[in-house]
Amino acid sequence: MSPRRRPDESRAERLAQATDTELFDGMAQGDLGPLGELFDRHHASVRAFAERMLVDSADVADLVQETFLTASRAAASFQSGAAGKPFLLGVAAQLIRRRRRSFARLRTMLEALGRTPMAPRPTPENDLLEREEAKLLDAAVARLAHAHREVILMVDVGGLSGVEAAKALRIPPGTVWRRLHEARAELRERMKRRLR
Amino acid sequence: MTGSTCDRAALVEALFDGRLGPSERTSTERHLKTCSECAELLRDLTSLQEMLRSSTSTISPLDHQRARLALLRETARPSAAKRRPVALLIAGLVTLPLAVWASASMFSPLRVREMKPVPPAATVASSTALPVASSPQADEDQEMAAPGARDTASMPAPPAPSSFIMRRHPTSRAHNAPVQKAAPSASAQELSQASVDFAEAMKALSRGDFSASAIKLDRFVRTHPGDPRVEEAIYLSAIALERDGRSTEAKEAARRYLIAYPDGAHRAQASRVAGD
Repeated sequence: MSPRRRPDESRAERLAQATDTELFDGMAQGDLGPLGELFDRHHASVRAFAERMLVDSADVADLVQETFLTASRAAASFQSGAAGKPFLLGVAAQLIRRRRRSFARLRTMLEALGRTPMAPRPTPENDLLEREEAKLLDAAVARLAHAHREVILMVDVGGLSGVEAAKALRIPPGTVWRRLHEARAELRERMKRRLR
Repeated sequence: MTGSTCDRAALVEALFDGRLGPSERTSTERHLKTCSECAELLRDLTSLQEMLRSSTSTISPLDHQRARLALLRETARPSAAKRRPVALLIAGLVTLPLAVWASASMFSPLRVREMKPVPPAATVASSTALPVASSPQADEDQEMAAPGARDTASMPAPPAPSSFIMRRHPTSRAHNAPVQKAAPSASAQELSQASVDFAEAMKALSRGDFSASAIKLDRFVRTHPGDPRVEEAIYLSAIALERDGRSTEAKEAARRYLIAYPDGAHRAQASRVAGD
Protein backbone atom coordinates (compact mmCIF):
# COMPACT_ATOMS: atom_id res chain seq x y z
CA MET A 1 0.00 0.00 0.00
CA SER A 2 1.34 3.39 -0.93
CA PRO A 3 2.02 5.85 1.88
CA ARG A 4 -1.26 7.35 3.02
CA ARG A 5 -1.81 11.03 2.61
CA ARG A 6 -4.42 13.11 4.22
CA PRO A 7 -7.18 13.54 1.70
CA ASP A 8 -7.36 17.32 2.05
CA GLU A 9 -3.63 17.74 1.79
CA SER A 10 -3.50 16.18 -1.66
CA ARG A 11 -6.64 18.09 -2.54
CA ALA A 12 -5.02 21.38 -1.56
CA GLU A 13 -2.00 20.50 -3.64
CA ARG A 14 -4.18 19.59 -6.59
CA LEU A 15 -5.99 22.89 -6.31
CA ALA A 16 -2.74 24.80 -6.10
CA GLN A 17 -1.65 23.27 -9.38
CA ALA A 18 -4.96 23.62 -11.18
CA THR A 19 -5.44 26.19 -13.93
CA ASP A 20 -7.99 28.96 -13.47
CA THR A 21 -10.24 27.14 -15.94
CA GLU A 22 -10.10 23.96 -13.86
CA LEU A 23 -10.96 25.94 -10.74
CA PHE A 24 -13.95 27.53 -12.44
CA ASP A 25 -15.02 24.16 -13.85
CA GLY A 26 -15.02 22.72 -10.36
CA MET A 27 -17.11 25.57 -9.05
CA ALA A 28 -19.51 25.30 -11.98
CA GLN A 29 -20.15 21.70 -10.92
CA GLY A 30 -21.12 22.87 -7.47
CA ASP A 31 -17.81 22.27 -5.71
CA LEU A 32 -16.78 25.41 -3.90
CA GLY A 33 -13.42 23.96 -2.93
CA PRO A 34 -11.54 25.87 -5.61
CA LEU A 35 -12.88 29.21 -4.40
CA GLY A 36 -10.26 29.61 -1.69
CA GLU A 37 -7.50 28.92 -4.16
CA LEU A 38 -8.97 31.40 -6.62
CA PHE A 39 -9.15 33.96 -3.84
CA ASP A 40 -5.48 33.44 -2.97
CA ARG A 41 -4.49 33.93 -6.58
CA HIS A 42 -6.49 37.00 -7.44
CA HIS A 43 -7.74 38.80 -4.37
CA ALA A 44 -4.92 41.36 -4.48
CA SER A 45 -5.81 42.39 -8.03
CA VAL A 46 -9.51 42.61 -7.28
CA ARG A 47 -8.76 44.59 -4.17
CA ALA A 48 -6.47 47.04 -5.92
CA PHE A 49 -9.14 47.58 -8.53
CA ALA A 50 -11.93 48.04 -5.98
CA GLU A 51 -9.91 50.46 -3.87
CA ARG A 52 -9.67 52.94 -6.66
CA MET A 53 -13.11 52.41 -8.11
CA LEU A 54 -15.16 52.77 -4.96
CA VAL A 55 -16.33 55.99 -3.40
CA ASP A 56 -16.15 54.68 0.11
CA SER A 57 -13.03 52.75 1.05
CA ALA A 58 -14.99 50.99 3.78
CA ASP A 59 -16.78 49.05 1.04
CA VAL A 60 -13.63 47.51 -0.42
CA ALA A 61 -13.47 44.30 1.63
CA ASP A 62 -17.17 43.78 1.13
CA LEU A 63 -16.91 44.20 -2.60
CA VAL A 64 -13.93 41.86 -2.87
CA GLN A 65 -15.89 39.18 -1.09
CA GLU A 66 -18.95 39.78 -3.18
CA THR A 67 -16.91 39.57 -6.36
CA PHE A 68 -15.66 36.10 -5.50
CA LEU A 69 -19.07 34.92 -4.34
CA THR A 70 -20.67 36.16 -7.54
CA ALA A 71 -17.90 34.62 -9.63
CA SER A 72 -18.45 31.28 -7.92
CA ARG A 73 -22.13 31.40 -8.80
CA ALA A 74 -21.42 32.54 -12.33
CA ALA A 75 -18.67 29.96 -12.77
CA ALA A 76 -20.64 28.14 -15.48
CA SER A 77 -20.26 31.17 -17.72
CA PHE A 78 -16.49 31.21 -17.41
CA GLN A 79 -14.97 30.74 -20.82
CA SER A 80 -12.73 27.69 -20.90
CA GLY A 81 -9.08 28.55 -21.37
CA ALA A 82 -9.50 32.16 -20.32
CA ALA A 83 -7.59 33.71 -17.43
CA GLY A 84 -9.38 34.21 -14.15
CA LYS A 85 -8.33 37.77 -13.48
CA PRO A 86 -10.18 39.46 -16.35
CA PHE A 87 -13.32 37.57 -15.43
CA LEU A 88 -13.07 38.59 -11.80
CA LEU A 89 -12.30 42.21 -12.58
CA GLY A 90 -15.27 42.21 -14.95
CA VAL A 91 -17.54 40.95 -12.19
CA ALA A 92 -16.12 43.56 -9.81
CA ALA A 93 -16.68 46.31 -12.38
CA GLN A 94 -20.29 45.26 -12.82
CA LEU A 95 -20.91 45.13 -9.07
CA ILE A 96 -19.36 48.56 -8.66
CA ARG A 97 -21.61 49.95 -11.38
CA ARG A 98 -24.62 48.60 -9.57
CA ARG A 99 -23.54 50.16 -6.32
CA ARG A 100 -22.84 53.39 -8.06
CA ARG A 101 -26.32 53.56 -9.48
CA SER A 102 -27.83 52.88 -6.09
CA PHE A 103 -25.50 55.36 -4.49
CA ALA A 104 -26.45 57.99 -7.04
CA ARG A 105 -30.13 57.42 -6.30
CA LEU A 106 -29.55 57.63 -2.59
CA ARG A 107 -27.51 60.77 -3.01
CA THR A 108 -30.23 62.38 -5.08
CA MET A 109 -32.70 61.57 -2.37
CA LEU A 110 -30.50 62.85 0.42
CA GLU A 111 -29.74 66.02 -1.46
CA ALA A 112 -33.43 66.55 -2.06
CA LEU A 113 -33.88 66.20 1.67
CA GLY A 114 -31.19 68.78 2.32
CA ARG A 115 -28.76 66.27 3.71
CA THR A 116 -25.11 65.94 2.82
CA PRO A 117 -24.24 62.78 1.00
CA MET A 118 -21.70 60.34 2.30
CA ALA A 119 -18.20 61.64 2.78
CA PRO A 120 -15.90 61.33 -0.22
CA ARG A 121 -13.45 58.50 -0.27
CA PRO A 122 -10.73 59.21 2.27
CA THR A 123 -7.12 58.81 1.26
CA PRO A 124 -5.99 55.30 2.19
CA GLU A 125 -3.59 55.33 5.10
CA ASN A 126 -0.94 53.57 3.16
CA ASP A 127 2.68 54.50 3.71
CA LEU A 128 3.38 54.79 0.03
CA LEU A 129 0.51 57.17 -0.44
CA GLU A 130 2.09 59.53 2.05
CA ARG A 131 4.25 60.64 -0.76
CA GLU A 132 2.89 63.77 -2.24
CA GLU A 133 3.00 62.64 -5.82
CA ALA A 134 1.31 59.39 -5.07
CA LYS A 135 -1.45 61.33 -3.35
CA LEU A 136 -1.69 63.57 -6.32
CA LEU A 137 -1.91 60.61 -8.64
CA ASP A 138 -4.52 59.00 -6.45
CA ALA A 139 -6.58 62.16 -6.58
CA ALA A 140 -6.12 62.40 -10.32
CA VAL A 141 -7.28 58.81 -10.78
CA ALA A 142 -10.26 59.48 -8.55
CA ARG A 143 -11.23 62.39 -10.77
CA LEU A 144 -11.21 60.36 -13.96
CA ALA A 145 -14.55 59.53 -15.49
CA HIS A 146 -15.82 56.19 -14.27
CA ALA A 147 -15.43 54.46 -17.64
CA HIS A 148 -11.90 55.81 -18.00
CA ARG A 149 -10.91 54.77 -14.52
CA GLU A 150 -12.22 51.25 -15.08
CA VAL A 151 -10.08 50.77 -18.14
CA ILE A 152 -6.84 52.27 -16.87
CA LEU A 153 -7.08 50.32 -13.62
CA MET A 154 -7.62 47.10 -15.50
CA VAL A 155 -4.80 47.64 -17.96
CA ASP A 156 -2.16 49.78 -16.28
CA VAL A 157 -2.68 48.52 -12.74
CA GLY A 158 -4.26 45.09 -13.19
CA GLY A 159 -1.97 44.18 -16.06
CA LEU A 160 -4.78 42.97 -18.30
CA SER A 161 -4.24 43.22 -22.03
CA GLY A 162 -6.54 45.58 -23.88
CA VAL A 163 -8.35 42.60 -25.37
CA GLU A 164 -8.85 41.02 -21.96
CA ALA A 165 -10.17 44.29 -20.55
CA ALA A 166 -12.54 44.57 -23.51
CA LYS A 167 -13.85 41.11 -22.81
CA ALA A 168 -14.18 41.75 -19.10
CA LEU A 169 -16.15 44.93 -19.71
CA ARG A 170 -17.98 43.60 -22.77
CA ILE A 171 -16.90 46.53 -24.88
CA PRO A 172 -15.04 46.56 -28.20
CA PRO A 173 -11.22 46.61 -27.92
CA GLY A 174 -11.18 49.87 -29.85
CA THR A 175 -13.22 51.48 -27.09
CA VAL A 176 -10.70 50.23 -24.54
CA TRP A 177 -7.79 51.76 -26.44
CA ARG A 178 -9.59 55.06 -26.87
CA ARG A 179 -10.57 55.31 -23.21
CA LEU A 180 -7.12 54.23 -22.15
CA HIS A 181 -5.57 56.91 -24.29
CA GLU A 182 -7.90 59.59 -22.92
CA ALA A 183 -7.38 58.47 -19.34
CA ARG A 184 -3.61 58.51 -19.72
CA ALA A 185 -3.67 61.90 -21.41
CA GLU A 186 -5.71 63.30 -18.54
CA LEU A 187 -3.41 61.80 -15.92
CA ARG A 188 -0.33 63.09 -17.72
CA GLU A 189 -1.88 66.52 -17.84
CA ARG A 190 -2.69 66.48 -14.14
CA MET A 191 0.64 65.00 -13.17
CA LYS A 192 2.57 67.38 -15.37
CA ARG A 193 6.16 67.93 -14.23
CA ARG A 194 5.79 65.22 -11.63
CA LEU A 195 6.40 62.25 -13.82
CA ARG A 196 9.89 60.78 -13.90
CA MET B 1 4.45 68.31 -22.51
CA THR B 2 1.19 66.49 -22.79
CA GLY B 3 -0.72 67.21 -25.94
CA SER B 4 1.51 65.40 -28.40
CA THR B 5 1.69 67.08 -31.74
CA CYS B 6 3.70 64.38 -33.49
CA ASP B 7 1.45 62.32 -35.71
CA ARG B 8 3.19 59.15 -34.59
CA ALA B 9 2.20 59.62 -30.94
CA ALA B 10 -0.64 57.13 -31.30
CA LEU B 11 1.83 54.55 -32.62
CA VAL B 12 4.05 55.14 -29.61
CA GLU B 13 1.18 54.41 -27.27
CA ALA B 14 0.30 51.35 -29.32
CA LEU B 15 3.90 50.22 -29.04
CA PHE B 16 3.72 50.72 -25.29
CA ASP B 17 0.61 48.54 -25.18
CA GLY B 18 2.22 45.87 -27.31
CA ARG B 19 -0.29 45.99 -30.11
CA LEU B 20 2.01 46.73 -33.03
CA GLY B 21 3.10 44.22 -35.59
CA PRO B 22 6.82 43.53 -36.07
CA SER B 23 7.40 45.98 -38.93
CA GLU B 24 5.47 48.84 -37.33
CA ARG B 25 7.27 48.17 -34.10
CA THR B 26 10.67 48.45 -35.72
CA SER B 27 9.81 51.69 -37.49
CA THR B 28 8.28 53.23 -34.38
CA GLU B 29 11.31 52.27 -32.31
CA ARG B 30 13.48 53.92 -34.93
CA HIS B 31 11.28 57.02 -34.83
CA LEU B 32 11.64 57.21 -31.05
CA LYS B 33 15.38 57.70 -31.41
CA THR B 34 14.90 60.88 -33.38
CA CYS B 35 11.68 62.39 -31.99
CA SER B 36 12.17 63.81 -28.50
CA GLU B 37 8.47 64.43 -28.07
CA CYS B 38 7.61 60.80 -28.66
CA ALA B 39 10.49 59.67 -26.47
CA GLU B 40 9.06 61.83 -23.69
CA LEU B 41 5.61 60.36 -24.24
CA LEU B 42 6.98 56.86 -23.87
CA ARG B 43 8.83 57.83 -20.68
CA ASP B 44 5.65 59.40 -19.30
CA LEU B 45 3.55 56.35 -20.10
CA THR B 46 6.11 54.08 -18.46
CA SER B 47 6.49 56.11 -15.30
CA LEU B 48 2.75 56.67 -15.06
CA GLN B 49 2.18 52.94 -15.15
CA GLU B 50 4.93 52.35 -12.59
CA MET B 51 3.50 54.94 -10.25
CA LEU B 52 0.01 53.57 -10.63
CA ARG B 53 1.20 50.08 -9.81
CA SER B 54 3.45 51.04 -6.92
CA SER B 55 0.86 53.09 -5.09
CA THR B 56 -1.44 50.11 -4.81
CA SER B 57 -1.81 49.28 -1.16
CA THR B 58 -0.95 45.85 0.08
CA ILE B 59 -2.93 43.69 2.44
CA SER B 60 -1.27 41.95 5.37
CA PRO B 61 -1.22 38.15 5.41
CA LEU B 62 -3.45 38.31 8.46
CA ASP B 63 -6.07 40.40 6.70
CA HIS B 64 -5.78 38.11 3.71
CA GLN B 65 -6.57 35.07 5.85
CA ARG B 66 -9.42 36.89 7.54
CA ALA B 67 -10.93 37.89 4.23
CA ARG B 68 -10.49 34.37 2.90
CA LEU B 69 -12.16 32.82 5.89
CA ALA B 70 -14.99 35.32 5.72
CA LEU B 71 -15.52 34.43 2.08
CA LEU B 72 -15.57 30.71 2.72
CA ARG B 73 -17.85 31.18 5.67
CA GLU B 74 -20.19 33.11 3.44
CA THR B 75 -20.39 30.26 0.94
CA ALA B 76 -21.31 27.92 3.75
CA ARG B 77 -24.38 29.93 4.68
CA PRO B 78 -27.50 27.80 4.29
CA SER B 79 -29.39 30.05 1.88
CA ALA B 80 -29.12 33.28 0.02
CA ALA B 81 -32.05 34.73 1.92
CA LYS B 82 -30.16 34.39 5.18
CA ARG B 83 -26.97 35.69 3.76
CA ARG B 84 -26.64 39.07 5.40
CA PRO B 85 -29.09 39.54 8.17
CA VAL B 86 -27.05 42.31 9.77
CA ALA B 87 -26.52 44.20 6.53
CA LEU B 88 -30.18 43.86 5.68
CA LEU B 89 -31.17 45.03 9.11
CA ILE B 90 -28.96 48.09 8.88
CA ALA B 91 -30.20 48.77 5.37
CA GLY B 92 -33.76 48.50 6.62
CA LEU B 93 -33.15 50.71 9.61
CA VAL B 94 -31.57 53.39 7.51
CA THR B 95 -33.89 53.18 4.54
CA LEU B 96 -37.22 52.86 6.22
CA PRO B 97 -37.24 56.13 8.21
CA LEU B 98 -35.86 57.95 5.19
CA ALA B 99 -38.54 56.52 2.97
CA VAL B 100 -41.24 57.33 5.49
CA TRP B 101 -39.89 60.80 5.91
CA ALA B 102 -39.63 61.26 2.19
CA SER B 103 -43.16 60.09 1.59
CA ALA B 104 -44.44 62.36 4.32
CA SER B 105 -42.67 65.40 3.01
CA MET B 106 -41.91 65.86 -0.61
CA PHE B 107 -41.92 62.82 -2.80
CA SER B 108 -44.74 61.67 -4.98
CA PRO B 109 -45.85 58.09 -4.32
CA LEU B 110 -44.17 56.97 -7.51
CA ARG B 111 -40.85 58.46 -6.48
CA VAL B 112 -41.01 56.85 -3.08
CA ARG B 113 -41.65 53.46 -4.59
CA GLU B 114 -38.50 53.87 -6.56
CA MET B 115 -36.48 54.95 -3.53
CA LYS B 116 -37.72 52.49 -1.01
CA PRO B 117 -35.70 49.43 -1.93
CA VAL B 118 -32.47 51.37 -2.11
CA PRO B 119 -30.28 50.82 0.92
CA PRO B 120 -27.12 52.88 1.36
CA ALA B 121 -24.31 52.18 -1.02
CA ALA B 122 -22.41 50.22 1.57
CA THR B 123 -25.01 47.51 1.72
CA VAL B 124 -27.02 47.61 -1.42
CA ALA B 125 -25.16 45.23 -3.65
CA SER B 126 -24.47 42.76 -0.92
CA SER B 127 -28.12 42.39 -0.12
CA THR B 128 -29.04 41.12 -3.53
CA ALA B 129 -28.67 37.48 -4.23
CA LEU B 130 -27.54 37.49 -7.85
CA PRO B 131 -26.26 40.91 -8.79
CA VAL B 132 -24.92 39.90 -12.16
CA ALA B 133 -27.94 38.00 -13.36
CA SER B 134 -30.47 40.55 -12.24
CA SER B 135 -28.60 43.58 -13.44
CA PRO B 136 -30.82 45.95 -15.36
CA GLN B 137 -29.47 46.83 -18.75
CA ALA B 138 -30.78 50.38 -18.68
CA ASP B 139 -27.34 51.42 -17.60
CA GLU B 140 -25.86 54.73 -18.64
CA ASP B 141 -23.38 52.69 -20.58
CA GLN B 142 -25.29 50.22 -22.67
CA GLU B 143 -22.25 48.34 -23.81
CA MET B 144 -21.47 47.36 -20.27
CA ALA B 145 -22.52 43.97 -19.05
CA ALA B 146 -21.05 41.46 -16.69
CA PRO B 147 -18.85 38.84 -18.24
CA GLY B 148 -21.11 35.96 -18.97
CA ALA B 149 -24.23 37.92 -18.05
CA ARG B 150 -26.08 36.23 -20.88
CA ASP B 151 -25.46 32.84 -19.41
CA THR B 152 -26.09 33.63 -15.79
CA ALA B 153 -29.85 33.99 -15.93
CA SER B 154 -30.21 30.30 -15.31
CA MET B 155 -27.31 30.22 -12.93
CA PRO B 156 -27.80 27.64 -10.18
CA ALA B 157 -28.05 28.81 -6.62
CA PRO B 158 -24.91 28.22 -4.60
CA PRO B 159 -24.87 24.71 -3.26
CA ALA B 160 -26.12 24.92 0.26
CA PRO B 161 -24.22 24.40 2.82
CA SER B 162 -20.93 23.82 1.15
CA SER B 163 -19.16 20.72 2.17
CA PHE B 164 -15.87 22.23 1.11
CA ILE B 165 -15.35 24.43 4.09
CA MET B 166 -15.49 21.37 6.25
CA ARG B 167 -13.18 19.32 4.16
CA ARG B 168 -10.30 21.60 3.61
CA HIS B 169 -8.46 23.67 6.09
CA PRO B 170 -8.73 27.09 4.53
CA THR B 171 -5.37 28.23 5.77
CA SER B 172 -3.45 25.01 5.66
CA ARG B 173 -1.51 25.86 2.54
CA ALA B 174 -0.47 29.19 3.94
CA HIS B 175 1.07 28.09 7.18
CA ASN B 176 0.93 24.33 7.48
CA ALA B 177 -0.81 24.42 10.79
CA PRO B 178 -0.84 21.19 12.71
CA VAL B 179 -4.54 20.51 12.73
CA GLN B 180 -6.18 17.75 14.63
CA LYS B 181 -8.06 15.83 11.97
CA ALA B 182 -11.29 14.00 12.45
CA ALA B 183 -12.19 11.06 10.31
CA PRO B 184 -12.85 12.50 6.86
CA SER B 185 -16.07 10.50 6.65
CA ALA B 186 -18.12 13.03 8.55
CA SER B 187 -21.72 12.91 7.39
CA ALA B 188 -23.58 15.85 5.93
CA GLN B 189 -25.63 15.98 9.12
CA GLU B 190 -22.55 16.55 11.26
CA LEU B 191 -21.21 19.10 8.81
CA SER B 192 -24.21 21.30 8.99
CA GLN B 193 -24.29 20.90 12.76
CA ALA B 194 -20.76 22.32 12.85
CA SER B 195 -21.91 25.29 10.83
CA VAL B 196 -24.84 25.87 13.16
CA ASP B 197 -22.65 25.63 16.24
CA PHE B 198 -20.07 27.97 14.82
CA ALA B 199 -22.69 30.47 13.72
CA GLU B 200 -24.21 30.47 17.20
CA ALA B 201 -20.85 31.15 18.79
CA MET B 202 -20.24 33.98 16.35
CA LYS B 203 -23.66 35.40 17.00
CA ALA B 204 -23.03 35.47 20.74
CA LEU B 205 -19.70 37.13 20.10
CA SER B 206 -21.13 39.79 17.84
CA ARG B 207 -23.86 40.71 20.30
CA GLY B 208 -21.22 41.12 23.01
CA ASP B 209 -22.19 38.08 25.03
CA PHE B 210 -18.59 37.05 25.59
CA SER B 211 -19.25 34.53 28.29
CA ALA B 212 -21.76 32.57 26.19
CA SER B 213 -19.55 32.89 23.16
CA ALA B 214 -16.54 31.48 25.00
CA ILE B 215 -18.60 28.48 26.08
CA LYS B 216 -19.96 27.89 22.59
CA LEU B 217 -16.55 28.26 20.99
CA ASP B 218 -15.02 25.84 23.46
CA ARG B 219 -17.81 23.37 22.81
CA PHE B 220 -17.31 23.82 19.07
CA VAL B 221 -13.61 22.98 19.33
CA ARG B 222 -14.33 19.85 21.35
CA THR B 223 -17.29 18.68 19.27
CA HIS B 224 -15.81 19.32 15.83
CA PRO B 225 -12.06 18.86 16.22
CA GLY B 226 -11.50 18.33 12.49
CA ASP B 227 -13.37 21.38 11.33
CA PRO B 228 -11.30 23.99 9.50
CA ARG B 229 -12.77 26.70 11.70
CA VAL B 230 -11.19 25.22 14.81
CA GLU B 231 -8.21 27.54 14.46
CA GLU B 232 -10.50 30.54 14.32
CA ALA B 233 -12.58 29.20 17.19
CA ILE B 234 -9.64 28.76 19.56
CA TYR B 235 -8.38 32.21 18.75
CA LEU B 236 -11.79 33.79 19.17
CA SER B 237 -12.33 32.00 22.46
CA ALA B 238 -9.18 33.68 23.75
CA ILE B 239 -10.55 37.02 22.61
CA ALA B 240 -13.98 36.32 24.08
CA LEU B 241 -12.46 35.33 27.42
CA GLU B 242 -10.29 38.41 27.42
CA ARG B 243 -13.25 40.66 26.76
CA ASP B 244 -15.13 38.84 29.47
CA GLY B 245 -12.41 39.88 31.92
CA ARG B 246 -11.16 36.31 32.48
CA SER B 247 -7.55 37.05 31.66
CA THR B 248 -6.06 33.84 33.06
CA GLU B 249 -8.34 31.69 30.95
CA ALA B 250 -7.81 34.00 27.99
CA LYS B 251 -4.06 33.54 28.32
CA GLU B 252 -4.48 29.78 28.46
CA ALA B 253 -6.61 29.78 25.33
CA ALA B 254 -4.17 32.05 23.51
CA ARG B 255 -1.27 29.74 24.46
CA ARG B 256 -3.26 26.75 23.30
CA TYR B 257 -3.72 28.55 19.99
CA LEU B 258 -0.03 29.34 19.68
CA ILE B 259 0.98 25.76 20.42
CA ALA B 260 -1.48 24.33 17.88
CA TYR B 261 -0.84 27.01 15.27
CA PRO B 262 2.66 28.43 15.72
CA ASP B 263 2.38 29.96 12.26
CA GLY B 264 -1.32 30.71 12.50
CA ALA B 265 -2.93 33.76 10.99
CA HIS B 266 -3.73 35.19 14.42
CA ARG B 267 -0.40 34.50 16.08
CA ALA B 268 0.42 38.16 16.64
CA GLN B 269 -2.83 38.88 18.43
CA ALA B 270 -2.67 35.58 20.28
CA SER B 271 0.83 36.41 21.53
CA ARG B 272 -0.47 39.69 22.82
CA VAL B 273 -3.29 37.99 24.71
CA ALA B 274 -0.95 35.31 26.00
CA GLY B 275 1.30 38.06 27.27
CA ASP B 276 4.41 36.52 25.73
